[in-house]
Amino acid sequence: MDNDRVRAGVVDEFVLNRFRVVDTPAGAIGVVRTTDGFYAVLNRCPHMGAPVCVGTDLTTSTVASRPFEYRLAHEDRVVRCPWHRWEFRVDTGESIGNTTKARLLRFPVIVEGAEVFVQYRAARGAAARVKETPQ
Amino acid sequence: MNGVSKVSPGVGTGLSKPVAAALSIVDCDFHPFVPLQEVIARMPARARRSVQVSSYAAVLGREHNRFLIPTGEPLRLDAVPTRGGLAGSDPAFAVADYLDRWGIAAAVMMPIQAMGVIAWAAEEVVNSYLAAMNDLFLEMWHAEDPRFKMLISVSPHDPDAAVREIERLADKPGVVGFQIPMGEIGLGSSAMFKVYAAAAHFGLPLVLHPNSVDCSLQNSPSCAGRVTRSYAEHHVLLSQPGQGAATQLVMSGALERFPTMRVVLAEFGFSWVGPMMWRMDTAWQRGGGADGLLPRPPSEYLLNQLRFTTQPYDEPGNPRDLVPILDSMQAHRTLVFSSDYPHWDTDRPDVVLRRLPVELRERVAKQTAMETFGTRLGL
Repeated sequence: MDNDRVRAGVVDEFVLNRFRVVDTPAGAIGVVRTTDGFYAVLNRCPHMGAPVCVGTDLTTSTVASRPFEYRLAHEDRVVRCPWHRWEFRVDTGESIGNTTKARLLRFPVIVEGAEVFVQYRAARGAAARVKETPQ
Repeated sequence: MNGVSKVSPGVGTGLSKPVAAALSIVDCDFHPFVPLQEVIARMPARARRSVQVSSYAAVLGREHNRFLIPTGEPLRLDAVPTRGGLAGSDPAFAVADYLDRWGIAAAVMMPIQAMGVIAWAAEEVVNSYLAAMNDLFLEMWHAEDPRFKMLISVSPHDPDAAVREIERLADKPGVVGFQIPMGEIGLGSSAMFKVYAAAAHFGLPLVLHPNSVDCSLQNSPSCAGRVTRSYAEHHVLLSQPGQGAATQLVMSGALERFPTMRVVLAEFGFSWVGPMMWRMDTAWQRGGGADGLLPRPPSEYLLNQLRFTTQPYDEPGNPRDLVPILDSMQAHRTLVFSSDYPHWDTDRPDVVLRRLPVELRERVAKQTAMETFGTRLGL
């Protein structure tokens, strides 16, 4: 029994780039599967406390560019808040476009066989991404 | 804790527990929808033929010059009802997702869908459309939960029709006030006095809100600074129509003439109120025809009769910068809470109330709104 982790589901239940939100003693945490593994962030926007993992899949952002030039960035790695649409990188928690110095709080994800767990006691700076373990 | 976690479905997903429930909040700006097909179906056949559906069919506006919402739609993505449809279109979902979660004792419904009529020319079509919509809000929302409080939407084009609609519905349970899209007739115009007299007779506050003259739903926007090019410009300039409305209501003598009338200015901001009041008083003191209508300083009317909502809450880098601004507007008697739910630029109740000085929180959350709307709130 490991007291600092909560089961988030089995790998196959995760729709690519769509959060599943699990209740933990540290608060609700969104866990998401991407093409390069799982990420987990606290389901709370640092701006106004909105449920940042609900109602919106991981998406792509645009970055500063010249006229008639459209530069996409952070493909499918952007958490976009469903309220004021502030954007954050799911891997680092950092704001995109320097909207804020505040970051999303990140948590490590452990995949054991088909089972996915989130470590809710993890420190803010801890690595948030883990590779899926071979099954 | 392996295996004991819960994956939260649907309503309530992931948001914190209702920490604000104990506060018991009155929300003075809540935006529900009704199905427009049903509104139109209730209209007389001739009027129904005249209703045109715009590109933004949720509102029936004709917003040719409207700024673009950068997000594609102006609603919260997490507030989409479980069964689908627009955020704010399902009363049962809104009860669980908003009222119960945040301890909202009363949510004053400001129907954005009514605002589209600002650009309609056929007065009878406007009248029947608003009447059908008013009925539907009562039947669909207030009947679902009595915490949903009704504002009667009245014609901005035809004061006689506005009076008739107020008289028709004022005594219905759940009605707490009335709202009029701003633009056609100045709020200080004597043409409006019969409307104010009817409202005063029934003790109905007037609630004003953007989405008409502010370059949202009117064909020829008259917002100072011309047509707003972007959501950002529009958001910054929301204070303009609010300042215009407040100035007209005070300086025209309308509030002097109707001393029991209360007016809530919802979503125009509030950080401009104190300085504008100073300027009104300075102008009034000059006399000499600058203003011959008011026996008392304009600030007295403003403080006694006008109320301003918290959303969109101003967010200075240092929250304490707001304190002298709140003092200047005597926020303990003029500021009321609003969320703008389910719009994307919503304010979260507990976050906003915690940013206020402690001594203001109870006043802003509930007390001032109760004094404004009176026993009609049923609290």
